[in-house]
Amino acid sequence: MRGLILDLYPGEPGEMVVWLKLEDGGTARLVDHWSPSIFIGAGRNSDLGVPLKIVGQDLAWTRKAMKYERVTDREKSEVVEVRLKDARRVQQVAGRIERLGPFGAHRLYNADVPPNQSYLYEHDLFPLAYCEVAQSGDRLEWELRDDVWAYDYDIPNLRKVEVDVDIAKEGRLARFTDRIEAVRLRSDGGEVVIDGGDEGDKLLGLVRAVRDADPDFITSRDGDSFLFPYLVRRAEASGLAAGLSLDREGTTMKVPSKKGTSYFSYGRIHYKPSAMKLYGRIHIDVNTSFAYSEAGLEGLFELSRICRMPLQTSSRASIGKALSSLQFYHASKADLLVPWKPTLVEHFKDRNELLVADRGGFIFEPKMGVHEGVGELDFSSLYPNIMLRKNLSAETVRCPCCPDSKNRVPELGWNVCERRKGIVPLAIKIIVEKRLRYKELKKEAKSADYDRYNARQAALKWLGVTTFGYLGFNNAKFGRIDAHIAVCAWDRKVLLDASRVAERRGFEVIHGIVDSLWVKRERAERDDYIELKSEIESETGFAMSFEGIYKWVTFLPSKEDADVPVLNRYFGAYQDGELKVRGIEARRHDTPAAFARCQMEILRTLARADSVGAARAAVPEGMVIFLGHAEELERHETPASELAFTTNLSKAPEEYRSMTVQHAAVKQLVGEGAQLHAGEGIRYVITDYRGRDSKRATPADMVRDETKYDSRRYIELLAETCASVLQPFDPRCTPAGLLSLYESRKSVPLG
Amino acid sequence: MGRTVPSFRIAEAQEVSEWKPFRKALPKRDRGAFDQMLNSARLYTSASSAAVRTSRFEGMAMALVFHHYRLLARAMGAFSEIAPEEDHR
Repeated sequence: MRGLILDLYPGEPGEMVVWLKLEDGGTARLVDHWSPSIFIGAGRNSDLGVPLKIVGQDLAWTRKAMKYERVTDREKSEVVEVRLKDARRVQQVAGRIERLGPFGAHRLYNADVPPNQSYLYEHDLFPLAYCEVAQSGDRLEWELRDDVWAYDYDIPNLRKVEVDVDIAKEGRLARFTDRIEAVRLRSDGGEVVIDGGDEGDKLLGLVRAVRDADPDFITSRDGDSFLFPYLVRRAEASGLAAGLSLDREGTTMKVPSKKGTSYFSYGRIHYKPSAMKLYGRIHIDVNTSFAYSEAGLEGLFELSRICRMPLQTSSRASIGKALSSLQFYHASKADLLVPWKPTLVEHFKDRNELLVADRGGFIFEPKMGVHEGVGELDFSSLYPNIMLRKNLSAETVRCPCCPDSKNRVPELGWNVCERRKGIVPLAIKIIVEKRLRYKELKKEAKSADYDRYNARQAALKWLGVTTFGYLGFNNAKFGRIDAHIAVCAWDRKVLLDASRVAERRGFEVIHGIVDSLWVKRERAERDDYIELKSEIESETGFAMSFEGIYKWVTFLPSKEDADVPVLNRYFGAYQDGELKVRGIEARRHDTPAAFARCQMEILRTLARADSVGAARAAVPEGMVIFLGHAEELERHETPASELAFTTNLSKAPEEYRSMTVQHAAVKQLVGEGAQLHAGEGIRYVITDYRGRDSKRATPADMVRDETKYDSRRYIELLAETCASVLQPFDPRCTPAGLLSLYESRKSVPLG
Repeated sequence: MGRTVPSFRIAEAQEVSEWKPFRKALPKRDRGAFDQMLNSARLYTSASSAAVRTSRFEGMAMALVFHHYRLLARAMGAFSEIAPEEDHR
């Protein structure tokens, strides 16, 4: 039998269920007699009899094995492999063993590697891999007829359906107690609307329609956080709880007992709802899937294949989790165990060494203001390439085996292993090389192929970015801050060397940040920049791309202080008219769509100008654009839906004290029965900014046709948004200046 | 894991904040100039960071001295153009 691996999960104890998408479009459910192992390490004289007794009925068998316990180990040591009967009980068993003694008495490994991922690693398979499989007794015999390194693989015949529900809302927000008005199933073949009969009929209609369409993928919006739990509640209310099944196993859909989690990442609180997974069919909640939102289905496919992570897991996983899976695969191939609770600590550093070491990548403060004829050069995947080429990994930086290594970390002089490849470079090789290839392929590709290659390289870009962060992440299984520090040290050297080359060739560095340089020389042409790029490449050893020459580019000052430059707020127009915009409102996810549209309209007008002078001359056109949008706001012609601000709650609803506009929206949502958590995203429209009660804002979901937004406040905010892009060209275009211009055009005051 | 030493950008902001009592004690007309002077250190944050001094003020102070030297040199240059016969050293 031949086909693609669509889904896999533990079935009955001792079973791994694998769904194969067959060449004729059908599917096959296969069962392999398999269960996962955990590994236990203990002191030489420790008695493993007690922990094994604790495993008791869950134990299938044990055996001694030689493995690398720690990523820094040079020799394998003897551990006990404990094969468990039931893949679903792995963590429970590991917890029981751990509680037998003080921390570290029994060192546990591979306890939190998901069993379906372990199965893929063990059999050298990956999701959507094209395979030939034969049943031999209760075992499956796999023959891989695919290559995870393949660039031109095709995923054919996958049927997709989007499920949506019209809800008869009794209040202003949808609740679990509201009845279903209609169920909609959208696919390439059109839309099926199930709206006849009572609620039970509609639910059974949905089950039947899904069974008949037999999709491989079901997509939903907020399926994890609302839609699927809502369907479960409505089925319960209709007495049909047991009949609600949307997967291929016929499993009754249930709301997971595990609640969603709030977590903190890069200075923000996020919320992750519990997953509503299906069996044998892939459910993707497009609103919570990072991979899908950044790179679409093609990006998700690439991520799943490379990281050997089942599709439903990778669609919900953070990129870090996906990356970990890739590292676990390489660890399993190298006989390296995955610690359940990593204990690798950083090397000791005295104060002076710490001061030198603990710094980020290099940054040249931007020369604020508008510049003409600036060229931009970017290093290609610099951090991943540094890790790969310099062999930077937890176990290789300051390794004990190569004190005289020629590979040394700049500024710090730390030695890097020359004898073996680190786990991080091993894992990152495929990311760096495949991304480079996809970028080359997309240059020559057209339409659908271009989109496919672009999505795949976008997914790989995120993996590369995360690899660096994970080197310094305290929960990473194979991270160590020393390797993270070494990457930054290399970056500083590379960027400084690059700037010295530029200066040597008569260029002035206008701005530089981590892996990008903006340089300028009077009358420099494209060829001059290409020559500069080649010289930097040969001097640093890292590849660069020449992004282009700007007709004009502006580096903005801090909003708080006009004398202080900020690193990541700039915009400019290349010679071909293409805009590059970073850090300003149009790029921010929390900006209302109408504001972003207005700002981009002004930028496109400025982008037609071929010089700074011409851009300055175009400022009046920008002012007219502002005035037009402001008038639309005042007449309430701009739809409220385009004026919604988006924010993530920084705390739980009950923790809010002062009545900010965010709190006003939260209060109304909670009043309507919404259950909100810290980190959850909300959208709201400002309705009475100068008010003091919860009417200051209205949640976007509760906005009605008759809802009046606070046009005065919106015009003030629009003036700020437009000033961001006009003021650099005309100092009179401050927010106050634009507002007063607007007021002068009106005979009646704003209201 | 994670960073132990704050980035120089953050350290510099902390240092500025710790000079608030000094600022408060200045006459109102001088406070703007004081803010401007401190801000000029931020034009050289990367160089201050690269210098890796144990005292964050050292990095800032060098940036301030250097910035003022540059301004002075520029002013002297401009002055020389107006009155070339004088020795302005």
